[in-house]
Amino acid sequence: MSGDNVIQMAVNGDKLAFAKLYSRYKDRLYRYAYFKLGNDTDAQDAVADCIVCAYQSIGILKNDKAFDAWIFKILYRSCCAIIKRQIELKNTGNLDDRENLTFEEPGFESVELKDALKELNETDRDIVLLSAVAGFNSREIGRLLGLKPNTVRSRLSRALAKMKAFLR
Amino acid sequence: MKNNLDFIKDKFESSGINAPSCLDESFALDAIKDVEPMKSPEKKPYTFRKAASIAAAAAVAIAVFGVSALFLFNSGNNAAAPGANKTATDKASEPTAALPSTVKPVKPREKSGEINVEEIKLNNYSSIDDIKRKLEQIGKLYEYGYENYNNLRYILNLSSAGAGSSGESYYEPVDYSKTYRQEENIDEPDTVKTDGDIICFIEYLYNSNPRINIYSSDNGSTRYESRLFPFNDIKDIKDGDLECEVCDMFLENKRLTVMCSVYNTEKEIDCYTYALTYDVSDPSKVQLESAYFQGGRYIDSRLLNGRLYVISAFNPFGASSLLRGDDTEELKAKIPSNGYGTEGKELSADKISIPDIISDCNIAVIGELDAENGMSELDCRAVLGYSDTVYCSESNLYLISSKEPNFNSLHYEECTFISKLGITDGIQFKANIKTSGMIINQYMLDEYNGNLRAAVEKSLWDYDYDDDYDDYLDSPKHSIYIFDENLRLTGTTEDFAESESIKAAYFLDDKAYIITFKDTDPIFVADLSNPKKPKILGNAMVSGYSTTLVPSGDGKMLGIGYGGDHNFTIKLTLFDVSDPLKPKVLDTLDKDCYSEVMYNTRSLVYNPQREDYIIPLSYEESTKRTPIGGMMNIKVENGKIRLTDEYKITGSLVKRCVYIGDYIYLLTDSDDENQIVSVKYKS
Repeated sequence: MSGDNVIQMAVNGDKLAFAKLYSRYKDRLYRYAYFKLGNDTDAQDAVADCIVCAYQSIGILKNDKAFDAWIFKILYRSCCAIIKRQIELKNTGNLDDRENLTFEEPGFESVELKDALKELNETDRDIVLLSAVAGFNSREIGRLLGLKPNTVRSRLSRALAKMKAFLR
Repeated sequence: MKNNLDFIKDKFESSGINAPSCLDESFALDAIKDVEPMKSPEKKPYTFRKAASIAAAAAVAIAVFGVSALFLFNSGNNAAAPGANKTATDKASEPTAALPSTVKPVKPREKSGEINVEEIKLNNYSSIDDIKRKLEQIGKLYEYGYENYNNLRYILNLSSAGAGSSGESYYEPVDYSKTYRQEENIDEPDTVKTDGDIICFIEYLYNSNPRINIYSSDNGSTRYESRLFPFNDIKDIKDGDLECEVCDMFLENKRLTVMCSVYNTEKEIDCYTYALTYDVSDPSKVQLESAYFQGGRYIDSRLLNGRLYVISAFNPFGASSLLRGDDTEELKAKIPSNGYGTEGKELSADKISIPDIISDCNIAVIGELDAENGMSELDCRAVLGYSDTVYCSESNLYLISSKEPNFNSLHYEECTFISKLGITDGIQFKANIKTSGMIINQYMLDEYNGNLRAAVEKSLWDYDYDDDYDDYLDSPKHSIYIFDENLRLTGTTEDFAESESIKAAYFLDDKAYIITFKDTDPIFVADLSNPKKPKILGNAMVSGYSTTLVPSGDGKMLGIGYGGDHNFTIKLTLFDVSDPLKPKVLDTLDKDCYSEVMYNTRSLVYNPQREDYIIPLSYEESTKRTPIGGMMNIKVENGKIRLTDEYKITGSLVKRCVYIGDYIYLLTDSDDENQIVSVKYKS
């Protein structure tokens, strides 16, 4: 399958093409879910969920160029669903439980990033992950989170500066 | 040197965090082996947002707040995808077994055509501290940012159909104009009021606070009497760095009641609604009589049977620094208060209800005042959940909140929350529901023989892209829902006007007339005589669309709205609906003008004695230097729309009109003795 038409084939329901397409994104998808949810188990669940949802609804995708943003939106929602399930099961409604990201397999770099991310509040963390890992622009992030693009840009700028200062 | 974003990106990419081998290509293939892609319906290049913005402009000018979030708990898309039960960790996917019974999994897309109506139970608590704790618990489940404190991430499920419209629009003979009323005996607030002796109107100025101008009138001549500055009156009462929005007024029995939203900018989002009542029996020496207030921003009000109902939206976390994105401060809930002048007290616990299904973190506050007895308080209640639309019948007040879909969910539909409050004996909460679909304004609702009839727009959203990509939206459909007195759904019509957008509605006895629009302006007629089986009868097409629909006697309906290009053309359409199976267009009238009536139904003036309409106009040939305003006087006669008079003023825009006796008064934007221009009725 050539690179040009694998998306088109996937959109037309070709499972092999879809699986191949997924494999191009899998590292970024997993990395995003891992840093958002804080552990490997939940990240794997989110990615698995995303694969099924994405394939189920692939016929609706009209514009091949939108695949990138589209699949990360699905992943974002899968992650949110896992978080919400955790809150409701715990029945505490306590944001603090979510704030404590527990990283199960820390490599040195990921420990550093984990600590840097912990310096941010949840929305800023979302903004950074959607920008630096998922590759969204400020307009896309704004629409996903219900914020104005200007707000996203200023918050992203502050958050990145904070993380960089921490990581240096 | 790298910028910060590239620096952080590189850090993530070199973190060593990559998809484990169990999430490889073969895993994906295995996960989807029994999954079939959903069929994409016929794609229509239609942008919902464009239609929504037109509908918003056409709706009555009630503050509508933006997107609230719908977050349906997805207990596992695996449940919706047959065969896709494998997760990477091989967990058994039976999420519903593990979840509390309160959590409802999202319905699969295939069943999106269903209408879901859920009854909502209200809970009361014995103490204010209990209520505060509950509000704080709920508040923590939402994440607020300062910029979008009205946005929600998700709808929270904590639990686990009067004297109807009189039908034909009957007006008792009056010799001065009243604000257009949806229901005969229920006065609606407006920015312009007259009682036949004086004309009061709110003037919004460019660089200063709004003021209210009071003129007396006598047989076509007007005299300036006085000016009110509600902001100054409030500053005399309340301390702080204040901002004041002067929203609406009532004029009754020589009492002018002015509804204001007052913000204390020092305390961020600390806001009150004031009802300032002035004695205007001597319009040259107006006195402030009472200053009632209740917590929250003003939403709407109604005056009926000597009682004033004030509805506001109170943010219990208004002063919290959490709203500024600073999450170091613990969330503290506040309780709405009410009172007079500087004296107020928090509502007691028995007056506040928290529903099982929560739509919003704002609290709707409903105050009932005795308009015949100095605006003394009769009752005040509050319920968690924001309402931006109010419909009032003689016996009941309905608070409506329609929620647009939010991006944070794969399958999402719009929904509407309806709270029914009895108002015949204090305020009592009668029923609360959440139903599918959107109700765009108050005119989409009507109570008749105890049932509530609603014209509803439904669509299923999928993905939404920014302007670089194609928008995609499942075709909006429409239906009329009928609820009984307990707001249980008794029946709905079949879907009609697919891929259109609803613009106007009028309910007359057992019929409903609905205007929708995409490229043409069809009027649909529905038979609602059997609440269990309402049905759509016939429809007729015309270009453009009406945003206001009024009965015009003898089986006719008059539509007022936009011409085909819907930019600067007002269009009137006369429909013959005497044969509901075959409605037809009798006549139309277009003018290259714009009018407030096109988006604010309350500005339409009907003279029941003359049976004619007065419509204020701004002419297309207006320029900034030479504005041209005016009005037209129209009448429906012998199946035709007759322009009985037209009046143009060069040099001023005409915002609104009223009539008293034989004169029409045009309220202009000029700042001198020509502020009100009078024109004698031609006929």
